[in-house]
Amino acid sequence: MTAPMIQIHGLNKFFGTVQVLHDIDLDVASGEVVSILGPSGSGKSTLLRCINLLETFESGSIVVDGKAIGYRQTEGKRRPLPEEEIDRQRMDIGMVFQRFNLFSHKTAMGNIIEAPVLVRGERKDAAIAHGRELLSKVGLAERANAYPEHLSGGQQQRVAIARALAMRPKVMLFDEPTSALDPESVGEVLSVIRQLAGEGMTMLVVTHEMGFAREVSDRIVFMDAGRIVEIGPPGQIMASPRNARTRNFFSKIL
Amino acid sequence: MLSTGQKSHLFVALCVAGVAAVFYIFATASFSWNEIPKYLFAPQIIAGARVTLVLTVLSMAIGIVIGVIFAMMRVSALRVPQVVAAGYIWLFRGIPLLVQIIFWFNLALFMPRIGFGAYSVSTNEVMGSFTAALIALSLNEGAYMAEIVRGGILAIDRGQVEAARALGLSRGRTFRRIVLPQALRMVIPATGNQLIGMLKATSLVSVIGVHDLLTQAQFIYTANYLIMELLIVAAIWYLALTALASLLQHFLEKWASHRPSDRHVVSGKAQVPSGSEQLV
Repeated sequence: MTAPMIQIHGLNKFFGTVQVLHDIDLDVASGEVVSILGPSGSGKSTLLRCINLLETFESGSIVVDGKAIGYRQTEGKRRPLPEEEIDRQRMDIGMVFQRFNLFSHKTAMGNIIEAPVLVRGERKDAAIAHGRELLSKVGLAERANAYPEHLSGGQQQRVAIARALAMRPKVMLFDEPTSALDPESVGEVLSVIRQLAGEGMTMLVVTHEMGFAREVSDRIVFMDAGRIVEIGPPGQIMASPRNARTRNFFSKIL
Repeated sequence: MLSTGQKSHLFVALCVAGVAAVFYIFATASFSWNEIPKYLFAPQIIAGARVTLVLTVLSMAIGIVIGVIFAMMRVSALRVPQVVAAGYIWLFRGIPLLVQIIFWFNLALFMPRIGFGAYSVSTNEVMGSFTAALIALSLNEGAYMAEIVRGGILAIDRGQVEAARALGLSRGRTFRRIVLPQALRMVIPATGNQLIGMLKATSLVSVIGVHDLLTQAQFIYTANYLIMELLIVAAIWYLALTALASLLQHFLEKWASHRPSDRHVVSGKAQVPSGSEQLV
């Protein structure tokens, strides 16, 4: 049995004096797809953002592919890693945001090749060739030269996925990838994510799409008030939750 | 009551009458109108216009560079650069430009030599009137541009910064590649206004005898007493130069809003122009 791709252990996170994550423990195996569900404000997005250090955390550890993220223990003291080290760690962790966050002064292709060329030092023509592959994978081969403002929400999100994949990440994090989309665009984005899941990408997905989570996830994590309440296979979590809060949540939604 | 059509006719008639009245007053005033064309292209006036233009372009260029640097300091997470930038902006935006111009020109009064230890130069040697004017205008402009650029930086969506960081771009690269190009595009209209303001503000340097447009006109009219005529000559030049600047602003704005679509990557070569290189 190989070590899990993501190991989160005893994670605590505060915003000022408010504790938003309590003792989070979660392992994600290589190739596993885990969805995080829960009411808003339950800490789902914050947990995701801790994994690539868009948020710092006060205690506990996150290990991705064997490397401790963000902090180092030296002489019993916990110290933040230098910024360059954190930048390097982020390269292996792809992130897709709710609001797409494409660079609006760059074309779809410009968005995709920016980091591979600048950060990974790929040759530009190689990055472009790879970018073309990724764009056709997300079904946007003809829109390479379009600026974000000329793309629909669903198209922008698919470019954002291609942009994250261009760094050849070991893990993909999706932070409510369809929440800002109109109903027609949701399907096109979900099918791209589904395809990735089928290819064995390790993924953590924060979502409100219950049907999608049930279909694509190996396991579902239910969070409430900064704690993991329940973890289990989708069928069990959704159909016969053990915890009262989980039951309450799904009875309202499903 | 008048109908809308009648109202607009009345409005046009009043405008025409107003313009005619102004023309009449000026035409009957005791100007020597025929003197104006003689001086419009006089060598001194042309030389003055050139100095005004050079001073404007140089001060603007230095002002933009200073502005970008101080705007970066102002939005920095660190306290010291923040405070330094705030202090700079407060000082150079708060003191009247005319006072600053006279100050730099008279620097030698209390600081006869500039330099460190053995290496120093006479202040009067370096601080000629042109240099003093350039320093005063640039530093003043820098303070205004810092605020304008800061506004542009703050207008950039934080999400793009997060996306860049999540891809592994460093803080500096994120600023240079993602934030700054977009911020600079955004401040083009305001910068155009500053440029036009600067063209006219340069006339203030006439008090320290830089041979700019107004100074040259003054030189001529103190000799021949054609005061109004030469002021009109200067005014014509200022108007022509501001018209030119407005035109430049118009094209810059058009360029910035209309992105060069479909240039990227089709050939595998072309690169999207990043606003920063072209503006600074």
